[in-house]
Amino acid sequence: MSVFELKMPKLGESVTEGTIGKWLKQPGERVEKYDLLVEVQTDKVNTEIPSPVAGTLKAVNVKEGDTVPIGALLATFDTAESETAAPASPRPDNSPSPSASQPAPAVPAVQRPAAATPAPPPQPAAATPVPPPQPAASAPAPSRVASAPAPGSSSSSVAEPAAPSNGDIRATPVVRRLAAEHGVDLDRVQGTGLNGRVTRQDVEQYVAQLQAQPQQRQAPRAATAQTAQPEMPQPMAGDETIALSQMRRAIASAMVTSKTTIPHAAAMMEIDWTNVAKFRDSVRDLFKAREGFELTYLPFAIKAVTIALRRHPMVNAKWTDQGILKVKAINLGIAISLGDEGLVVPVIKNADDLSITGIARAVRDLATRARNKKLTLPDFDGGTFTVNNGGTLGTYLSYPIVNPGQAAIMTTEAIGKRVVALDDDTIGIRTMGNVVMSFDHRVMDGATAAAFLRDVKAWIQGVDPANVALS
Amino acid sequence: MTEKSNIQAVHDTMRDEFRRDERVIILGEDVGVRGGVFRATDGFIEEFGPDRVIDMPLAESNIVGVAIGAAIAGLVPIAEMQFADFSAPAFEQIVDEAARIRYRSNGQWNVPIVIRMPWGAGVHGALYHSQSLELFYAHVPGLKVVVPSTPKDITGMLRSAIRDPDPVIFLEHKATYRAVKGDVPDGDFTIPLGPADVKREGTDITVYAYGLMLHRCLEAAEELAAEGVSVDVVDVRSLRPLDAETILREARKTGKCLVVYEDNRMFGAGAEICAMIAEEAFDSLDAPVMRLAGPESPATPFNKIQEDAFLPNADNIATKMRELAAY
Repeated sequence: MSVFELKMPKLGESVTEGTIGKWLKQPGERVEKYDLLVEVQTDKVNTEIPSPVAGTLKAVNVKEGDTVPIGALLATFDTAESETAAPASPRPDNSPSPSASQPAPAVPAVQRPAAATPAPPPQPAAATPVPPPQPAASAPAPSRVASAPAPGSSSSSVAEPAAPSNGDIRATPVVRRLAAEHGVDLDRVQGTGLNGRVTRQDVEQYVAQLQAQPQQRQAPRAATAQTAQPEMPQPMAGDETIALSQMRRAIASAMVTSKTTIPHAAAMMEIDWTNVAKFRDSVRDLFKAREGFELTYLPFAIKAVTIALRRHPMVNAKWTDQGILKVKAINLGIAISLGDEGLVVPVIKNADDLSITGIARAVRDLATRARNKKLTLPDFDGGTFTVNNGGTLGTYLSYPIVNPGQAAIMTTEAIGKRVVALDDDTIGIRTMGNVVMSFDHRVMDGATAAAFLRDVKAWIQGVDPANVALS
Repeated sequence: MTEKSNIQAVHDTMRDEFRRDERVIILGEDVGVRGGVFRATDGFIEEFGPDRVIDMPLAESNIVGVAIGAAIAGLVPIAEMQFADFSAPAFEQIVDEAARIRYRSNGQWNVPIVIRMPWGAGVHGALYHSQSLELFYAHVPGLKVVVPSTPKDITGMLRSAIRDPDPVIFLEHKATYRAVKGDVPDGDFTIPLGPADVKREGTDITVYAYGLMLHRCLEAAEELAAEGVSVDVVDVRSLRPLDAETILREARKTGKCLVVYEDNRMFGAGAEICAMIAEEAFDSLDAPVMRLAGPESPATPFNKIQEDAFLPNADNIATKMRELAAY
């Protein structure tokens, strides 16, 4: 019998915390491997965590509705089989590398009565989430199943030395390098790898904790100076406080990061969409009949962006202090509004591979899944540039904020008929619309942004209305 | 964008190149009247005639030798080895002649040929229709050796190979010919011979593979994702040149690397990848570089159960991935 600790897994790129929804299993209940255990909401998606082990759910450590960081202890289990084999201290007589994937059928039949009875009172010793060190003999120190992604929780990874000797510790090259760079004594890091080996993740997390601690001690001054959160004013009659949703918090955090770290500049260009409008009219019925939805202007804007990005790689880039990272893949984030609730920016991967129809399908797929809350975390990964389509709401000029980690965002404004002076000095009616791009002025200057927008414009204006094959 | 199988991609790309450039010819066993044993040249002799689609006798040294001569005289020949296994008789022409003529003539002559070879096991082809020979050719400076395994990569890289001024060994895994389908962008795009391609982004471990093994690794990676392990899968679609930049970048990203190949493990092409990582990315490694490959056996067995045991599959790849992730 051993105890397994379930920790909040890392649910995706840039996800740092999650809010517990409903517990689908209750303490005392028998749980099979892969049974769905608990609903978790993150700033991007809602998901259900399957149980990585079979056993009895002993205690639940986080209440429904609470938000906890990655790695926090969520629940403890009694596991009949020793799925969590690795002991904390290396034992010489151990066979070298038990294949982690195959549960060793250690003590199959004999279960201790305590675990068999579905008794609600959780056993206090192992259920307690924080420090009190357990008596050495009671259980092997928390080890993790090979497949569990989460590194040790914050409470457990800084611990008293697990390995007996100081000095002669075997560690992989990257662990030695990181330890040397940060002056970490490996004796003090609790390992979660095979046979208690200290992994790269263990060191990184240990360092992150060391860095976090002094900040906490200086908290009072730093907090007021840096964050300066406005106090909630005394509500007047009829006022209503809206609790912050995960999505709202995430949007707020991304926008503050962007606006406080990225020097924004913007450029606007007016585009003649008449050819695209004619083209749309000519394929409207055909497209609708074939695809089952209307062809909008947006796929054309996206296509133009992918072509212009290829010519201007500095727009498909990312600022880092070590240098500007020119990104090869063209993965376009598409801003999708969910009304007052917020907005999400899922990503079309390798958008430059797609035809107009392919783009239209991809956008529709993302929008449909966004509204039905069916987007998954991989849908949000890897964006390199963002396209926003504010024009459908009727805006004529807006000033988008660059997504952190990218260099630019382009928004298409309302498209409509306007009277314009034509090249031959006559007056004509043309279908016009603006595009606006905000960009990170550290990565590029106005000339690059303008050249990029000129190519977007040229492609859109160059659409051949007679070329039905284009769609 | 059109969905194609791997064999369709081979067929259509060659056909387009035949139409684009009348210097392109193909020589091989059954490529003409029969249209190729895998149908790669189906309809070619009807459209392009027997002067450009040439049925050759069962003498591979002759197929490659004639192709070299025709190339030097100004044509752009594709030499088809009906199976990679049969290329042994042409080894001398490929390695001693084609690979070295540019060097030997101090750059005055070059040999723009493509030698296509269906390779690999998994189709119950046993001893003479299953071999992995990439390593023999990848060892030779002067050759390019590529192993694309998706319709898009095959299309873009076969175009590049035909337009390349030097000899290219173009390996097509026969078990993927009809089993693997995918979208191919329309139009005349090319993919350079060299760059590897990250087919799946991941953060916990990095897996390198090519050919049929790539697809099995992607399958296993999906299994691991369900367990919370994020697997990065690199398609090493070119063995020579070998893309050190991508291979090392992805190795440094996770610090845990696994190389999977179906050739005999010892001295296989994957060993070179392991060595490169160990030499160049040493201080980023968080686990020994691991390998999963074919067993020490003189040949691929005929019996299905034995062939299945011979080839790495999604299950034992997943087991190896778990072992690496847990390290």
